[in-house]
Amino acid sequence: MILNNPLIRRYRYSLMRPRQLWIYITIYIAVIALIVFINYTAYQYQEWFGNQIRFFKSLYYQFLILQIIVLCILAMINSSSAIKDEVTGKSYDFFRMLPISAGKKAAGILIGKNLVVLLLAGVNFLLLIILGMLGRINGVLLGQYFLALISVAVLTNSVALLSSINPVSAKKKNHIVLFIVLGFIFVPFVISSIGIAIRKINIFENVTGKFYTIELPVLILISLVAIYFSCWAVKGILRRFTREDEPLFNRMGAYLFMLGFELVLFGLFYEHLKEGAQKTNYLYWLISLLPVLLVPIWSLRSFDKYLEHSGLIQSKSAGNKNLVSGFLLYSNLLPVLVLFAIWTAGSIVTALMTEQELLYNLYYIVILFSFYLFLMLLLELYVVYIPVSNKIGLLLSFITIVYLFIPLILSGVLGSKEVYLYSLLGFCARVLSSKSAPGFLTQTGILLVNVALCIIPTMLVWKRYKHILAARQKM
Amino acid sequence: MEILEVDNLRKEFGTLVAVNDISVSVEKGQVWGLIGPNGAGKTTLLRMLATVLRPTSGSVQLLGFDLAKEYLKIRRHIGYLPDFFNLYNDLTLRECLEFFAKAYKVENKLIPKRVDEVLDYVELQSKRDDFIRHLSRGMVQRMGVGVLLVHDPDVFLLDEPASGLDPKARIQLRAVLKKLSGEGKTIIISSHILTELSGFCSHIALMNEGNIVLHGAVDEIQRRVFDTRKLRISVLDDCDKAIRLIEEFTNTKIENARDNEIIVEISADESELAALNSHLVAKGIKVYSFNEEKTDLEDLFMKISAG
Repeated sequence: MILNNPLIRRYRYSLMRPRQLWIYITIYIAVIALIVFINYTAYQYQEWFGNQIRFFKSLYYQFLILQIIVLCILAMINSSSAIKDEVTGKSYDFFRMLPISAGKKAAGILIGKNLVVLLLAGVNFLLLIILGMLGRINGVLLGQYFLALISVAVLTNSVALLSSINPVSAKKKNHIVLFIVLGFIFVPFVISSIGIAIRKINIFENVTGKFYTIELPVLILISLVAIYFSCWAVKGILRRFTREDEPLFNRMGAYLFMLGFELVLFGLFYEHLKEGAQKTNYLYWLISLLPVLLVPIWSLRSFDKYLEHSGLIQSKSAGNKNLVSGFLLYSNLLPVLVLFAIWTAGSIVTALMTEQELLYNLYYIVILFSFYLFLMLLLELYVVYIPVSNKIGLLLSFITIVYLFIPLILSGVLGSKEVYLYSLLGFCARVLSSKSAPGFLTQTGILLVNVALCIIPTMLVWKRYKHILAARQKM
Repeated sequence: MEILEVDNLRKEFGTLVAVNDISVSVEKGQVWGLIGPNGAGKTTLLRMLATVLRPTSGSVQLLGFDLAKEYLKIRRHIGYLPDFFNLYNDLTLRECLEFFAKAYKVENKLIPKRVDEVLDYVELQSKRDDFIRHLSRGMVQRMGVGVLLVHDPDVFLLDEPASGLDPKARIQLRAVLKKLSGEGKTIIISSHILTELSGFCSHIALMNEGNIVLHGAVDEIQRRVFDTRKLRISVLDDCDKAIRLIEEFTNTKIENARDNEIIVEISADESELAALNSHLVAKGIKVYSFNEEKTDLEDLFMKISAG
């Protein structure tokens, strides 16, 4: 059924030609031979491992790292280059025209583009099973490793493909953001895996974690979280293949993603929050703030969409008042407010759970909102001013950097213990630190500065909104 | 039988209206030439019909399928050749056609035969096992048409198929397209090189600034735009007498007369043309050639553009 996918056939033709396949196989065999040779030498002459079981166990973990590299890193590079290749090869229109479903296209790329990788990974899996058995690794643990590996591989590959589906910018796209995001996911994983292999510590064997009140092996927990986010990534791929000119998230999708993120994170933090530590509460706040910052970017409606939609509401609305309210409801500012409201609700729950002083925490939330609002207004400025100047992004990025870092620098230069709090980064660091909370006056000062900073962007955004409505009437 | 029905189709890019509420219908077997200057909206219109660009508003029915809702079904019935394209360089011609045949759900057992037929059709059979990267631009363009043929679509949408080709490649491609139109395929082909379209378009749509300024059958438009016809009359001798006789006829104007060849502008229908011919012969003029000069698309385009 899967091999019947025409895209897999297309990649089979181009990737599995014997004259290039033997090169991959030779490299793979050489790597395997090298690992075995080094370990065998260490075992035989240096007596590093003590006994055969530990030798095979160490080999097992090294092959596991190799499998991570093959399935997650090599495959991710392949998956992320598929659409870029179509665009730069000028065949993207043919690809888009293919009368096959978005699901088949996604599967075709994820499997087809990685045929060689999957072939090598298949061999590696067999070796892992053999080495696991020889190293007396518990069968259940072996299964957990495989499940975690496969689910993380599916997540990274689907995220890689998703981030590459942007035909407008694919020509000169680099994947810096993707690599940074994935780097955060992988680097600790790879490093800790290497650590395990080197020190021969079976860190995952008896470690469990709790999701709400359910106790699960940590590898299963990792797998479930990866599977959950993979589902979102696959949903995103299907949306990108069917609605290319739409933002990644529609409104409902953005809210559901945020809610889901809160519920998953809350489940992971639940037991720790019950212990009532202030730090855990604020850590939860800051982690759950990440999607509040990122989802508006992924659900951003463009200037063109604004014009298009204002035409629609103009044809339907009775008066100018309806027109403006209809436009504001369609604007990017609405999800910004809703997402923050969802975050606020979650944050109040955790504050209550950890028995924090509610009023004090609410004031924190208001200050965080003022930071957030300014950043989101800059984002909206980008949307509405991009037709005026395509360098607006550069200017706004500069302002963002100044906004985030200048208070930190000034704090150092002036030797002040309070100025750095005027940066979102400084404020978050202080909230998380064990230092006493900032004073009321300082907090009010931060709030007032942020409100003042929001005035000009709000006026500029409003001016452009009016311009869009006026331009629409002339079209 | 109506195969394509476009109703108030519109595409906006920001404040630019690339296609402005266009309505047009195309019948089976018609060959439409979409002509107009660069930036007229031809490519945008074709891309919307090909389901690769979402319209801002309006509707399109192709073979009864709604473009907005049933685009996957529509794709099986159309063959779209974009203006700038390439094929998969890492595949051979055979592999490439097999891939498209499979994607367009050609039955597995029929694929090898279909691939052979297509390669014969576009005259690339001798290159079947060559990589696409080794083909010339003209060959890639013909192969592009071949890729469309593999699933035998009902409608061909060709966007400037001959642009960038040398004269020989252009003639070869034109031969392929003529073959298609001769087989009764419905084709919509855009070009701003009008000689490319002359001779095999049954209908034209002239686009300018997102609007279809004029559309219909070529003959009908010619009649509508040119209120006079141009005759080229060759006589054996007595050219002056012939000129006099022609001038006696109503609604005629001698445009040029040289070497016993007279070019006449006349506002008349077919029976009046026949009457003129008979009149000359009856008066003893030895007419050995009496032809109406067909205005080509280039004349038509210039005439329309001039307003």
